[in-house]
Amino acid sequence: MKRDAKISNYQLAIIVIGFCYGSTSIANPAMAAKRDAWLSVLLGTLGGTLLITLYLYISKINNGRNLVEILEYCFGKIGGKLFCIVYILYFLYLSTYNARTFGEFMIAVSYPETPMIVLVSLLIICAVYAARSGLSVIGKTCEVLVPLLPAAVMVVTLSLLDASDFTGFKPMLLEVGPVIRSSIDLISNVYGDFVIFIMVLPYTTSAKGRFKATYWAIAVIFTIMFTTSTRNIQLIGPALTDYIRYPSHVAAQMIPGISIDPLVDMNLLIGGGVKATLCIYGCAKITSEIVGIENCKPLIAAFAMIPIVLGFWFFPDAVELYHWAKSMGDATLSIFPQLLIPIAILIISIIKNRKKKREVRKTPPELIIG
Amino acid sequence: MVVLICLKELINSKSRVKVMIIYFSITGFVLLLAILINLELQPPNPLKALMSALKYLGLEGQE
Repeated sequence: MKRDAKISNYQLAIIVIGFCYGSTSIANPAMAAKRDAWLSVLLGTLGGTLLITLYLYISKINNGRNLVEILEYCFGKIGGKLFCIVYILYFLYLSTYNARTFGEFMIAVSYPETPMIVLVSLLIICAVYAARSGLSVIGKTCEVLVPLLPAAVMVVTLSLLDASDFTGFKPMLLEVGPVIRSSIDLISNVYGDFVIFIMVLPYTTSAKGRFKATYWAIAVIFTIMFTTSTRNIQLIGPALTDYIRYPSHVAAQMIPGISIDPLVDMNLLIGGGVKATLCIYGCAKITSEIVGIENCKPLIAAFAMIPIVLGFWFFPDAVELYHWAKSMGDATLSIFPQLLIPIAILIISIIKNRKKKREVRKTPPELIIG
Repeated sequence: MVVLICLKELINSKSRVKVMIIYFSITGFVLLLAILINLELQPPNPLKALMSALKYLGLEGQE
């Protein structure tokens, strides 16, 4: 299938890093696991790698089809469209949650007097501008901005190396339950969101290096999260890590003589922006394809307005957002679009592909040539 | 304001009717929800309902 916009595999990897790291850059990635957070990151990454492999394999066996085409191929025209609506709603939820997290963080840390709607709208305006410009522009923008994410983490971590206290890691694995729960949260919050890339993967220039590029991106995400979680345990301690909403920000404030906490805040701006951009782009693209509109550009602004308003409905205040982040709600909500539908797609695709191969084998060669 | 910015694209779009129907239904929904939230008459929060259901099933998450 011929596609207009093209991104290189390097750009794909860079977008994956920005998108998956997204809003987790500021909040503790494995909050519930306390001193075993690093273990949760490790387990979560292993589970996440399996999940991402599933998505990559789905894209591979469907020969360049995007999410809408795959859903229609597997579940038929009507069934496929119904599942497309599920994904539109899911991506809208993702962008809402992300924009709201960004707004709450900005109000709590940097702009306490600024109304929430102004901060969220500013993020969304940037996201709309990027999404309207298309995938190539998103890729090029990420090439410039996303390398700043690991750079910021490195600067903060290296500046605080002498203040590290490794006693915070002991005793290990006092409770197994929170570690497993944190790992599940991490899989659904960070790696499971990769499902949106089934929409993007067909637009890469080469199908060959997709797996390699994505695994490199996972390695970078793991390194950032592992560094962040171990650093926070060493600096803040396991007891406080659980109660501090933004431990990375507090860690950055501990650097004596210089204020580099805006460097950490910048992470959320970049990661949150990439996530919101791709979610809005995904919603507009899926809608335009199921309705049969050639260009999704006019719909992007309309879809961008939804997360702003939904944020005020879903999370009226910071407490509600905090409760939601700590509950299993996000993981439960994500099971259907992140795991169940992709597994169904995989099984149906394999069966249909085998049937096709058998039919081709049965057909006499002269008929195939004819 | 957003409508005005997109007006040119909406008019020039090849499938104008489809685009306009989707565009104005989304903006209408957003406007209605914003007004209801402002009047504190918004519909029940679906995420709260999900959290209550999880609590009922004993899957509360971390307190």
